[in-house]
Amino acid sequence: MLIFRSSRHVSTIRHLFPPTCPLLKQSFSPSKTSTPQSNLPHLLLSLYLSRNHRSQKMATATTTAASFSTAVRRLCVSTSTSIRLRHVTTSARPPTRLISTPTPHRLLPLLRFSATASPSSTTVSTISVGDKLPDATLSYFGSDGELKTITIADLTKGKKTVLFAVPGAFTPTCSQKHLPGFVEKAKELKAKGVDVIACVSVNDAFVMKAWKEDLKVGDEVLLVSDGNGVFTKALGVELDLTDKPVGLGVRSRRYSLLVEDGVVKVLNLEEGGSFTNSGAEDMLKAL
Amino acid sequence: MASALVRGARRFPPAMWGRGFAKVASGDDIVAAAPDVALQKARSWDEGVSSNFSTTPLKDLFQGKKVVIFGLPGAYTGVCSAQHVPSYQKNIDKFKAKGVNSVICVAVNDPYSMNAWAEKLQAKDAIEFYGDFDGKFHKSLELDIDLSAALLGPRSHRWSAYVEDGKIKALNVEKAPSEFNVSGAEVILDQI
Repeated sequence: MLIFRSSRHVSTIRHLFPPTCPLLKQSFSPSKTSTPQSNLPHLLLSLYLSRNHRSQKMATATTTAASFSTAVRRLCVSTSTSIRLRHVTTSARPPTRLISTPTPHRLLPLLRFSATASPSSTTVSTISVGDKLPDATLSYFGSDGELKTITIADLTKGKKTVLFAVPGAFTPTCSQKHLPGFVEKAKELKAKGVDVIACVSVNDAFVMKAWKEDLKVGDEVLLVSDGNGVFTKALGVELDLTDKPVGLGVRSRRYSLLVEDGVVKVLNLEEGGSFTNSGAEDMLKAL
Repeated sequence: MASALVRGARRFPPAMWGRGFAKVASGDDIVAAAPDVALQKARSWDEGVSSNFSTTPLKDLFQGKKVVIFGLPGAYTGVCSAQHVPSYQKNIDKFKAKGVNSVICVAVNDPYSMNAWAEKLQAKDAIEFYGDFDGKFHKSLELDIDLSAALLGPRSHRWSAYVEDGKIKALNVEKAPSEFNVSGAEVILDQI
């Protein structure tokens, strides 16, 4: 069972790996100039997907711990490093190789398994590479100070667009690292053929405008508001912080994605608000 | 509570006082109307971390104090920034002269946006800003309004109230959030 959809489940997989495991920091972004080895995770992923066809709808997939462990073992290609997976019973038999190339076990964090049966999920399946972006209306303030709306189609049709999301305006990582990073690298990104760079957040357009002025962002990056969270929900990347005392409510997970003519080519999706692979440099590398 | 609504309607006929009705009316206890609600003081993220993101329960704000509190749809928006908050900023000395302990501004925003807005308006020393980020405070007072059509999401009406030791002495609610007739500082100064 593949849990791509529910962000709730994604955040629970961290316990499956030892805390110092560098895999936790691995980013999932197939790059053009990568070696065959690093393309392998993507390959295996698509193979696994074709075997277990992931439906777009809210399907309830349940599995037993046994079939989960079999699935993991099948895809686990290296025994040189022992990866402790809490819910998997290790057997004496060496794992069967799906593809006979010596690969690091990079694919594991990319396949977001959960050993527990998923409750009947009513969330939309999370966006992934190759999907067409759902359309939605976002709002922003034009340079003339007028409140305007813009659709995802406007931002992405026939264009190369970099879209990145932050959990909240005026919060530290977003203000100090994520957004400024993209502002700095905007020229380089545009030189690589990107037409539009846009930052989305579940804040209203007024706050986005004030934040833009506060950080003195020019026209390099468009700050758009997903005020009602509709676009975020459609992508399946909500971050529910209502029960946390930080006072943010339902926001968006941090991510950056490259969209070509409405189809997602590169996706760097963080868990929650952490900032590991969704920065501008990683997007530049992926281009 | 139907009785509260009826009470409110009798006391504040819409023609005279604008929208007039809320769940609470003059004489009600604001803390009792919103029992488990806490507000978040507007602060920067670092201040939030150092204070463990503590929330302020309503009784800390109201008990034993004379408070003028006003709510508005959203930080950084037109009327809120240009008229509503400035009217209270200008009259802060008059409020203090009448024995008001604190003037509080609350909106359905997260505390960080509220903080940045308060700093931009340079109103932090005069007015205390609180964020009702999940809208619970306004919902329990039935002062919430859905402004999704304006792409703002669930927000609050524009309103003002004078609360003495938790008891509402005066409550003014605008007919529409974009109006600014009864919820300004001058109106409530007369009511104290």
